[in-house]
Formats: sequence, structure tokens, C-alpha cells
Amino acid sequence: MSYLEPKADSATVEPVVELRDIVLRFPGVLANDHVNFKMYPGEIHALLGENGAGKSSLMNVLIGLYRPTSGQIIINGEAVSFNSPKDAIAKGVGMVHQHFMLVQNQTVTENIILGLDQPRFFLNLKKYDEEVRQLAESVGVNIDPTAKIWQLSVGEQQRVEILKILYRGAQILIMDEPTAVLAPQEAEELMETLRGMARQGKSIAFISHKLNEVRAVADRLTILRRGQATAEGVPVEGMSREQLATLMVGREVIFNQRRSDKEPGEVILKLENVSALNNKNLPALHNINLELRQGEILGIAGVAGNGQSELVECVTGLRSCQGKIILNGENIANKSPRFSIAQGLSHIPEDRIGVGSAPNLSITKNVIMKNYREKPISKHWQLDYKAAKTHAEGLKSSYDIIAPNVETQARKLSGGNLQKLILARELSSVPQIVVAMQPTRGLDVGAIEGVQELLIGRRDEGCAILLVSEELDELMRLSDRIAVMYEGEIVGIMEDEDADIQTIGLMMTGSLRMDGKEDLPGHNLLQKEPETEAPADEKAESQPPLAMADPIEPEEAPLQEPLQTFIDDAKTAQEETLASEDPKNFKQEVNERIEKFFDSIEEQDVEEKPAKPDLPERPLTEAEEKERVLRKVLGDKYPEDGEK
Amino acid sequence: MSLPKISLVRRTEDVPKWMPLVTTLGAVLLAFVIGGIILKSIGANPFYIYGYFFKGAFGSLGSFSDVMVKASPLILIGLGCSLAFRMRLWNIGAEGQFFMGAFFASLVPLVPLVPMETTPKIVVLTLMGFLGMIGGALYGFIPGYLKAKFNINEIIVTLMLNYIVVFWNNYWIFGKWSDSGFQMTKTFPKAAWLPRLADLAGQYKVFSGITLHAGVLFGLLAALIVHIILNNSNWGYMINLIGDNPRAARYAGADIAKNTILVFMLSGALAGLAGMVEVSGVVHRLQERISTSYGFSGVIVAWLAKLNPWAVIVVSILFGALIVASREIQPSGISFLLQGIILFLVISSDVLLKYKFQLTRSAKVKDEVAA
Repeated sequence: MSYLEPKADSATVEPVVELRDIVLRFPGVLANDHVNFKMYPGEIHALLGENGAGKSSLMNVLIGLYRPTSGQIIINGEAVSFNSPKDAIAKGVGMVHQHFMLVQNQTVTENIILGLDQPRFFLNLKKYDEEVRQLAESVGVNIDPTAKIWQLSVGEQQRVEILKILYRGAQILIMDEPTAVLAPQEAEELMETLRGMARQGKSIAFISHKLNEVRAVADRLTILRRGQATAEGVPVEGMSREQLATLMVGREVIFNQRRSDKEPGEVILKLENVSALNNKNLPALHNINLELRQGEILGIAGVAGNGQSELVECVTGLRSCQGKIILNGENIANKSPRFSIAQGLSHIPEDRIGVGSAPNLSITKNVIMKNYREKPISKHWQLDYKAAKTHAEGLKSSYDIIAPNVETQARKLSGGNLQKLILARELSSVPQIVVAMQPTRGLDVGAIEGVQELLIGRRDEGCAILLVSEELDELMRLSDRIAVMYEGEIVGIMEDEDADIQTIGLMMTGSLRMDGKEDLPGHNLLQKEPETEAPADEKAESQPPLAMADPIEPEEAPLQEPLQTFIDDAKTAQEETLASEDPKNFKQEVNERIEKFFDSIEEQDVEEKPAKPDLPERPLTEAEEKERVLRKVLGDKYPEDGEK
Repeated sequence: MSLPKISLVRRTEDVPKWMPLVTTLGAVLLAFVIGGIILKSIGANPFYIYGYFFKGAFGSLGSFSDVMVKASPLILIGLGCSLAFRMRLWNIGAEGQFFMGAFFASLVPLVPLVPMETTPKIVVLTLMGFLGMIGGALYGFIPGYLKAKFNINEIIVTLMLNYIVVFWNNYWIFGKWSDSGFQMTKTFPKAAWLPRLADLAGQYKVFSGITLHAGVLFGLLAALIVHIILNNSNWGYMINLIGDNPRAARYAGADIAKNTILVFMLSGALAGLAGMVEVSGVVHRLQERISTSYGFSGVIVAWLAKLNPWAVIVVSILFGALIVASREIQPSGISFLLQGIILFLVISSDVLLKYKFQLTRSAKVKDEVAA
């Protein structure tokens, strides 16, 4: 079955954007190979593809960052030629980049009006604050225009970027992997915002490689593989996860569990009462105790910002700490990174560009970063660039780094290829222990699989792996054990058998701890509750189900009532069991309560679904319009069962 | 319909290897053309003046030797700056390190540290060169240490230290070693003079009056050493790595604090050696005015040479020629004018390496679609 050129009646419905036969050629790379792309008013159009498949390139053509080698850009029926994003925004096309471009010390409003011709000299900030507030309200975004950017969470900063583009009058929004930087809950809010904007008639191009997300939010999709379209404007409805994955990577993707069948070996890394401060000199780790064995993957789960980065930095020697970190019998706490590297510790850092690579240096110079003092690359004081180049070429082919040659600068690599470079460097040294932080973040399905295979391969060879990830699925699939972090503490370690995603989820949000300690780490939540004035059920209504406690300011995140009752229950249970001094009983009890809790949540979910707010008066007509358009475009493929 | 529009498009591909050289030479050429237009506009004949310039700088062995004498300290300082700039350490204190090197080297004949009459020349000169480098290195250590330990801005520190050393030197020149009240010390004994070509005038007549001294050899040797450090050594690799991304370097196990101090000291040592070369090879005494702001010109030389050791030599000779040629022309400001235009254009020419020009005809596309 072909997904190219689905039948469309363009006589009546004009696409707002049409990219015709776009070819974009870089030296050595064909980023886009005769790609067609159409967007209609009021639709969310997903662009799916692996890293380096050409999604971002195609959209950069649309906003004038790149100039196509050949092909046409037609906007609202008019052929255009953009020289810069400024030209594009003048035609109503704007892009929200993955990395935000905001001035940290300025307010939301200041950032939004930055670079505009108005105001010319005198700045009446209040007037603009009001404009921004109204704009935000009109698209259902909640933000304080007077807040400084550094005070905002990543999700809020993204909203500022969206408002920035809307303020410039964009009708066509391009979102470049918008959820890659967001927590699951923020992602959900973003989707809601995007749906709302689509209802108002705006067209949204949504670059992603997360299949679930695309299925949840997009109306139609275009899939790119190695620069070519494998699906052009196909309706999302009715496409299965597997179908999408196959179109994307050109082969079946395996979704299965990969636990080690061998018994783990000896303890190779041991953390004893490790405590550390964060960059703001506030406590980030409290008395961490962990053991990592040869041939196992120990997963660290947790919502971002609960001390995972600090933990990794302590282990790799990048952060000073108290307590002991024993690697192979030697205390490596507060030793230099060079010392731990010499001990056979490899580190796959969270920040590939900022920490993992030197952007302006060549691939060769990047892969020898850690072994340049060793033979054969180094001879005494001398560096043998020929040997280094041979080494780099070997890694380039065995790790399949796609680049014209090894002299290419690291900054010219795509995200996935850069990660391959880092993995090549870190894993080819035959490490004893690998500390991997978010190794698959921002990568596509195919690349994720590759990275995971590499880690599993090393694990099976007896290497110990400390895997920090925010993707619970990934942790569940790879880890032999999972430790959960909350507010700088390990609140529980789940062995293979009893690990289930719900329990981990509760521990991650600070609602449960399973290491036998008395206080729940989020005890401040419990103390705050009686002081609040509003009745609990009123508050619960305004909250989405299973609200996650904000990791940074937990006292400001009011809990949903059933969750609160559950925590109270859990606490009583804990007290009771502690009194009876029978921890096994306690665990059972907790598990039962968890089940009960989730049952109640599920019931509630079912009840709440129809209560979704009806579409307001005006957008409804637009939605009807959209439906009409889609029916025209999609013909009999249009889903009859309505609401998506 | 509408005129074709010229726009700058960011280069996505690597530029060919010859490109930086061509754009730089083109920029220098263009600078002379613009200088010529200015000269013409004030009523002079540019060809005549440039001819005079050229003759003044390269016309005879004597004048070329003068050019090389001026270029020698520039080469050493330019190399020192290149090394520091490679690690993104903004050492603009070469002027101060130069003076401190001159002071330390002068200690040998002025204190004197060794009996001047009996010690062989080679020992005296080696000691002077060594002390000159120590002086510069110590003066480079101060901003390096402050940067490494307390992250104090090295630009401010090096800039301020430049002034301090002038007063330090003046104290000794006026207060202790003054040559009967003049603003200079006594002339050094001959043992503390770098050998000059003029010394060979007995054997070869052509060399009589030629001031070129052995200091230029120091410059060439230093260029070779800096080249090897930067391009063939482990340490040079690390300097480049730290320069490009210090966080990645730390992650890869580099000791940034140690290297900051070391690079600052080596950079200072080269400037200090330049100070020794100048007092021992040219002025033969310590005085208030030994530098015609060599330290600052060295910063410019390093940039124009794009931090490449061999290019530093070429640029230094060009600058030396401009300094020498300015003696031949009135007003002498003409040569500084040219220096300024060259600097401006060479730095601007980098645009060509990062962007390319493109002609666009937006009207044409529209027509095609309409058809």
C-alpha cells in the first residue's frame, strides 16, 4: 500500500502551505529529496521521521533558514522566496525551535516584543503586557507577562516562544520536537494548547518522532526517511503504532523487554551516604546509598530535577560531594574526572552539545577526547593525528556515524549522529562501568533502539551500567533493577519482579516510599494541606487527574483529593505497620492500596471523559469548517466517530 | 520587474583550504587600494608614495634589516597571544609582560648578576633570555592564577598590570640605575648585546651598518615550537579542546585551572623574551620607552594571522615594514592609516568564510508560477 499522494480535491480547499518538490542538498548529504508537503487551515500536521531524516531541514526551508536547491514554496497560493525567518513571519509562518531563543533576564513581554519595529523609542511596557495577556488568553495559555524568563519552567518558556510567534501574526506554526524538553504533564498541556489553536483555524506543523504523541494530536502526517517522503499527508486515524514505525525506519521495530538472563556479578560501584549541593548551593542529594553490580543495568527513575544530574556528576567526578563513592575498591569521590576515566568509567552526558562534544572541532578530535594520551594515538608528548584519524574512521563506520568525513565539525552532525559519536567514544574504550544520562532523549525510534542495543550489548559483556532516564518505558525495558529518586533521595529500589510502572510513578511523585523510612519525602505536602482554605473537592475539580507534584516547588502544587486521601491512608498504614514492625505486611498492604487507588482513578477517568468542555461558539463553526475540509481531503477515510 | 537582490547566505559546507589565504591577501590588497584613493583625494600620487613605501621597507638590505628588527618582538608577542587566544584566554597584557621581561633580562648586566668582564657572552645572553622569559612568565602567572582560582576577568587584570610595570620600571630607571639623571640606564656592556650582522662587517663588507640581530632567530624558533605544540602535541590538543568547549574538556578529564596558568605563563614568557630581545638587541639599555606599543600590536598581529604561528611571522614582517616605511613619509600617520584599514578589512573578510553572497530574483519565481 502506498502512502504517497493521497487523493485530494484541491479545487475547493486551498492549502495554506504547499512545498512542491523540495530538494535540499548539503555537501555529501541529500537532506530533502523531492518532498511534497501540504498544510490546510485548522489542521495539525505531524512530520515524523528519524533523526537526520530531513524533518527539521524541510521546515527550515519553509521558514527561510535554508534555501532549497530546487522546488517551490507556495503560501496562500502565492509563490514566495524567503531569505530569512523575518520574511517568513511576514507571511505568517513562524517556528518554535527546540532550543529556546529567549533573554533570561527580561520579562515575557519584553521577549515577545524584542526585535519588532514597534515601539520605536518610548516603551510603554504596561500596554504591551496587556496585549500579551489578551493574546495568551485568546489561545488558552496561562502565563504572567511580567515574569522574568529565568523564573519560568521549560514548559512556560515554550509558551512564551509560541506567543512570540503568534504576536507577530503567524497563522502557520512549526513546532520542532516541542515535547522533547517537556515533562509528560507539560506535554499534555501543550497538546491541549495546540488543539485549541487548530480549532481557531491555525495550521500547525508538528515535528516529532514520538509515535504515541503523533497519534494523539495530529490530524494528518508526513513521514520522511533519509530525505524522502514515505507518507505524504496521510490521515493519522487508523494508522497503528507498528505501521508508523515501519514507515519511519523501514523495518519492524521491536518493542520488548530486554532483561539480563545472567546473575549479576560482584559489586563494582558503591555509594555510601553521598550528599551534595546543586549549582545554587542548595542540598540536592541526601545520604544516597547504592550498589551497582557487574553485568547489570541499574535504572534511576525520577522526575527531572530530583537530584539525578547531581548524582551522575558526583559519580563522574564533576561535582564535589560528601560520603564515599567506591569504584573497584577505590574511593573516587572528589577525585578528578581523569581519575575515574582511568578507572574505566565511561560517561554519556545529558547535554551532548554543551558537555559531550567540542562543536567546532572535527569528529576525529571529538572521538579522541578521552584516549588521546594513550597509544597509539599518543607517542609520549606527541599526538599522532594519522593514528587518530584511523581510529576515528574505524568508529565512524562501526557506529554508523553519518557525515561526509571524519574532518567534519561536530556541530554539523544531527542530534542522533552526535549521540552516536559520543557512544562510539564512550563504549569503544571497553569500560567497566557506564554512567548514561538520558542516552536516548531526542532520538528517533531507530536510533533509540540502536543506543539501547549497544547498552545491552555492553551489559551482557559484564559491564555495569547506571542508566538515568525520564522515560519510564525505557527504564522498564532495559533495567535489571530500578531505583527511584525523589527530592535527592532514593525512595525505593524495585527488583525485576515487583517493578510496575504505577508504583514507580507514585514513588516518583513523592507519594510513596519503600525503603522503610518514616517520613514521606514530600512531607511538606502533608503539612500544608490543613491550612488551605478551599474545600478539597473544589480544588480537585480544577486539577487534571493524577496531578504530578512540581519537583521544584512542591508546596505550590495542590494535590488532587483522591491522591491526598491515598497519601493519608498510606501514611497511616505506614505508621501502623511500623508499629507492628512487620515490613513485609506493610508492602502487601501498600500494594493493595495502590491497586485500589488506581481502580478509583480509572473509574473517575471514564466518568470525566464526556465532560470535556464543549467547543465554544465561534471556533465550533471553524471546527465544522475543518471537518468539511477534512472530509473533502480524506474522502471515505474520514473517521465517522467524530472527536479525536 | 524588481531588481535582483543580493543577500548573505550562511555557508553550510566547509570552505576550501585556500580560501582563508585568498580572502586575507585580497583584504590587504583592497586596503592598499582604499589607501590609494584617500592619498589621491588629498592630492598625492599613490603609486609614487607606495613605491617610496616599498623602497623604504624592502629597497635595500639595510632597510629590510630594519623591518626584521621591528618584526622580531612582534613575532614573539604575536605567538604568545596566539597561544593564549587558542584557549580563549584574552591576554592583552603582552605589553606588561614585555616590559617585565626586559626588566628581568636587564638585571643581568645592571646588578650585575654575573661579572660582566669575565663571563662568556653566550652565558650572559642565555641567562638574560632565560630571565626575560621568567619575568614575562611571572607576570603572566598573576592573571592566570586569578582566572583559574577565582575566575577573575583576565582582560581587566592584564590591562591594569600593563600600567603597573611601567611605573615599576621607572622606579628603577630613575631612582637606581639612572645614567646621570637621564631617563635611561647606562648602556649595557658589550657582553650583553645580541650579536648583529654588523659585527661581521670585518669579514663581509655588505654587513656594515646592518642592525639585524640574533633575536629574529628566537622568533623563528619560537614559531616552530608553538606550531609543534599546537598541532602535534597532546598539550596543544588539550589547549584547543579547552578553547572550544571548556565543559567538554573538564568532562574529558582536562585540568582547566592548571592549563590556564600554564598557557598564561608561556604566553607571558614569549612576550618577556621579546622584551629581552629588544633591550639586548636594539636599545642596549633599559629605558622608559622601549616599546612602540609592541604588546598591543602583537594582539592585532595574532588576530590578523588567525592564530596561526607561521602566519604570525608574515603579518609581523608586514607590520614591521609599515613601521619602517612610516619614517620615509610625512605625515607618518599614513602608515597607521594603512594599518587601520588593513585590520578592518582583514577582520571583515571573515564574513566571506562564513557566508556567501547570493543573487535572488523574487519576481521571476512569481512569473513562473503564474504561467
